[in-house]
Amino acid sequence: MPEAIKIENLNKTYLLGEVPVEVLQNINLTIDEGEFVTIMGPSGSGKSTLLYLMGGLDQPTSGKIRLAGTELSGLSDKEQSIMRRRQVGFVFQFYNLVPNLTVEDNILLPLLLDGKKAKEHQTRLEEIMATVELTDRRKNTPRAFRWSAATGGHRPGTDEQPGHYSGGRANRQPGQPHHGRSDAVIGQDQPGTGKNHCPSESFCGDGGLRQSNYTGAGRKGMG
Amino acid sequence: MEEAIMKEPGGEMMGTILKYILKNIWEKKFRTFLIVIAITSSAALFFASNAIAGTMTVMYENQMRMQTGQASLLIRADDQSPSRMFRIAADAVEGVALTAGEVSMGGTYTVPRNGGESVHPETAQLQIRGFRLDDLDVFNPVNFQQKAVGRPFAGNHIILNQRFADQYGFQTGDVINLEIMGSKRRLVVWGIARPTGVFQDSPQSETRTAVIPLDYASSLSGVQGSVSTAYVVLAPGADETQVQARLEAIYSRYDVSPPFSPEDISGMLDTIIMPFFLMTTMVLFISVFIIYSTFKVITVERLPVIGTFRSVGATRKTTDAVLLGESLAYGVLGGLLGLGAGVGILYGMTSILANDPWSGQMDFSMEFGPGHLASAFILAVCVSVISSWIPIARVSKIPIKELVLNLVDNHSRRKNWKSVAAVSLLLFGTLAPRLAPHILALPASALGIFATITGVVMAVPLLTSAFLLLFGHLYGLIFGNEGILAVKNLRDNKNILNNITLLTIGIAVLLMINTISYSVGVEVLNAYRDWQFDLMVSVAQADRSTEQSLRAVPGVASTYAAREQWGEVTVSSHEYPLRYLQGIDPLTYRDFIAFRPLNGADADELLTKLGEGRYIIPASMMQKTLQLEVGDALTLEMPGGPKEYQVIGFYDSMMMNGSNAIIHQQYYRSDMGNRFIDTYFVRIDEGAEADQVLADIRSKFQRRGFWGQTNQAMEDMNIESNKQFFVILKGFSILAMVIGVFGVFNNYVISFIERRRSLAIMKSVGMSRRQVIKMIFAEAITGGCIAGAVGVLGAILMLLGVPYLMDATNVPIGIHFVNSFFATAIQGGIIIAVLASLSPAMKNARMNIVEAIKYE
Repeated sequence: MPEAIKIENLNKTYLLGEVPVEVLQNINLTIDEGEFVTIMGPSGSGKSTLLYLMGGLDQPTSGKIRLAGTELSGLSDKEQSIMRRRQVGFVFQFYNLVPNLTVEDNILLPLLLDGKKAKEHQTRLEEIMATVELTDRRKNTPRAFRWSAATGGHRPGTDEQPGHYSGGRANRQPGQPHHGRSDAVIGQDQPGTGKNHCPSESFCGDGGLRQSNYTGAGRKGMG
Repeated sequence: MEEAIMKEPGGEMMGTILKYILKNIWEKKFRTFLIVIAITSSAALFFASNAIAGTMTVMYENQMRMQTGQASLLIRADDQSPSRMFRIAADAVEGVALTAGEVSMGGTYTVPRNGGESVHPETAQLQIRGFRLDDLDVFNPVNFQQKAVGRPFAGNHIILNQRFADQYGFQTGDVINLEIMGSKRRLVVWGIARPTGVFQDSPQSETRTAVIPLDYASSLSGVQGSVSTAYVVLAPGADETQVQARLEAIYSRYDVSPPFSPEDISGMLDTIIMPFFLMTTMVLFISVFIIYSTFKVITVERLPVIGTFRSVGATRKTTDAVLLGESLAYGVLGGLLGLGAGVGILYGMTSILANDPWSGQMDFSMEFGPGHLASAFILAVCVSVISSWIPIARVSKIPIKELVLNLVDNHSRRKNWKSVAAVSLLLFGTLAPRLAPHILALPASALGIFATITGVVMAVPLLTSAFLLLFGHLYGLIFGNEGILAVKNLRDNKNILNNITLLTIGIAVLLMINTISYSVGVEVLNAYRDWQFDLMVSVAQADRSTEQSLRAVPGVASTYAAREQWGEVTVSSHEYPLRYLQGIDPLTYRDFIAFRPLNGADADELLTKLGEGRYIIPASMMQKTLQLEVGDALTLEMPGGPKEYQVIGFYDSMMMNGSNAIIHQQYYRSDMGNRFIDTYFVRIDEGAEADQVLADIRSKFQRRGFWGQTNQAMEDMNIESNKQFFVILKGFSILAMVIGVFGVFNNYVISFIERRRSLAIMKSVGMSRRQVIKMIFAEAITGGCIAGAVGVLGAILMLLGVPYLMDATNVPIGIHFVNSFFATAIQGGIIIAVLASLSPAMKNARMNIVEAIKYE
């Protein structure tokens, strides 16, 4: 089986003020295509940091990360950006959506950044929205997520009735940025925990992730 | 528990709050700078506008007092007096410390010339005034440069003006030969006086003042014991009104009055001061907006802290006090700095206005008191506290639960009432000046302008949406998908809307002032273009024979004998002071002055009809002010008694700001009782030099109380005078723009701090640095374009109301729009927006995605 991710002697050190904190020490890991890997550990053990590094969101202090055979540290900003938009999907621990963009726009964002025309990807967009059960909210923005999730849909200080989607529904979107990629790696940071609770088996369960990864080989779910 | 929550903060709590406030102010230096500079500017301009009235009043008073010194009352002959001269009563009058007499006359000095006689030898005119030196020492002391020692000022002594003495090389003890009252006189220079007091001459006049002893002046003019003017100095503590009444009883057929009235000065200053206050209000408007929008950000930032304060028992009052305390601190700091800056601005304004081309360089000292300082300081504090109150009050209402759980929705929702209010304000701003009755024209037009700019500001979100709807698709074509994202980001982004608003106000105000300044320039030029002659001259007691002599001067092509009255004619039927009345000769008038009748009337017919009876043609401004119609009767108070004139039409003329009218010369002569010609309009031969012809005319009439000026010189002085005024106004508007630009820079910084997370998400799904910069660049260009376009719209709407405001202040001008100004405004908007977004864009392009997302 070809290697999707290969990590060699990976180290990550943060500076806490002037004190260096070694978060990751000498990590070596290989994940093959089609594998579904779960990384577990106590709080502060460096799970998220490892995911960020594998997703190309952060730079290691030392060591190598190869994603689909490409060494990340040797890439320019543009090459890394292209890699992120074409080969990586990431579900953050907290709701990280672009608040002024609609559900559709948030899902289409990587395609737009890749210079693609949204019109040419409507069929796939419909499929994804149907999968995450957000077709009826496609024109909504995620601005109301927080209050909607916490107040059961009632907007504080207003007479507005519930209408936007809940926090759980909001969180279904970040799983979608990999749409349109044939060899995407999906990183989910603590799905089903904390605020990032998973609203339905259809989305967060292994079957759901595999479904959202649609057809073809070589997609990885991690969390 | 409830009681504890409601308890006012104690000393320790207040100390903690104070520390917290000071820490906030210190930590956010740029924000503090922005708020403080906005408050400082408002306070400084308010102080300067407020104090300039007093300063200018004193300046003009001093200027007027140059001639009259400490004299509180003057006694002079008027139309009802039996003679130009009178005797000063020998008996002492209660309350009078001194009554100083003056006898004045003209004198000519012929400059000695080497190389024989000339047809027109060079001469210099002197205004010779006879005073007792002791009297002058009391009410208007002479500032001597040189003075004779050991000899009293008596007999044929003369004190010369320093400028005259320097020009012709006179020293104390020299002999000067003058021609006075047609006789040659030999006088001895007793002193040289600096050009102040009675020796300060008008910059327009070439005549210089000289003083001779009163007795000698009386003997030269053959009026021993009589004077033409008496200067009355009051005894300490005497009541001016009572003394005036006593003197009026003694000099019953003469005019006893103060040298000038406060109304004269306030009337003169109103037109100068009002625009300053208007501009100050505009700056205030921007400051309020900046403080309001900044406090919206401050309150949002502090929500978690306020939540924590409230959850540990702080009352709403306490948390309000924290925020209001911060606002108060900004107000105090801005107020104090504003006072310093205000004094500087006042100095600058005063020194510019003191150099008046008409009156010459005036002496000035800044006049302000504790009242001016206190009112500016209070304004600064009020501006800060009131502007911040709405966002503070909004936060105050949020329940603790929402604060603690961070459930507060910060996104500004589109408020429909704002659109309705914007449209209503714009409608009011358009209609109020047009529909208001004349008596309410000033407040209605001023309110209209403010309603217009407020309406435009409130309409910014609506106009931005409309702009994006219209041109949004273009961004996709120009900038690609990053352009599409930029358009989506611009919609309903409150910081970008704030930026657009600030730029809009700044651009609109700057454009308005520049356009008004340009329009005044054009109007002045147009006014002088109406004068289709080259010179204006006057000769004392001129008649038809004078005109014949004038025409004989080489270079003079034709002349028009103008009979005109400046001021002093009251339209008693309408209680209106007519400032300029002409008695015209319909046959030749149009050869010298452009005559444009209104309502399509035929110029020749109208002018011909003037000669058929007591008919009058008022200027358009007078028609508007008095709501006149053809056929109305106007009663003019003239020396021959009240005379009724019937309106037969109106004409376009801006002379004396439109307060003017024409009647036929035949009725003018009989009703005004003036057989002499007041002024001649002179057209010169083609190719002749106006200055040379004027010099030749002067030399011919120099002994006859001559005054003359070229149109070009008068136009230049008018332009210069307006320029000084607009330099200050432009300074105000540039300051408004600078504050606006600071606000825009601050907003961009805030905007990118708030959007850091959004941008990080975009980067996480593959947005490159270049794409970040491209998207932000597209946003900045769009924001700048919208601000420029809305600013232009705001300026046009305000400028459409300006003529009504100017009409109401009796300074009517037409507005001349300049397309290049509008293009520059839009370019300026784009440049400012792009520059302001440059630094945050670069920073955000290089940000660490994980830090931005994880440690939010």
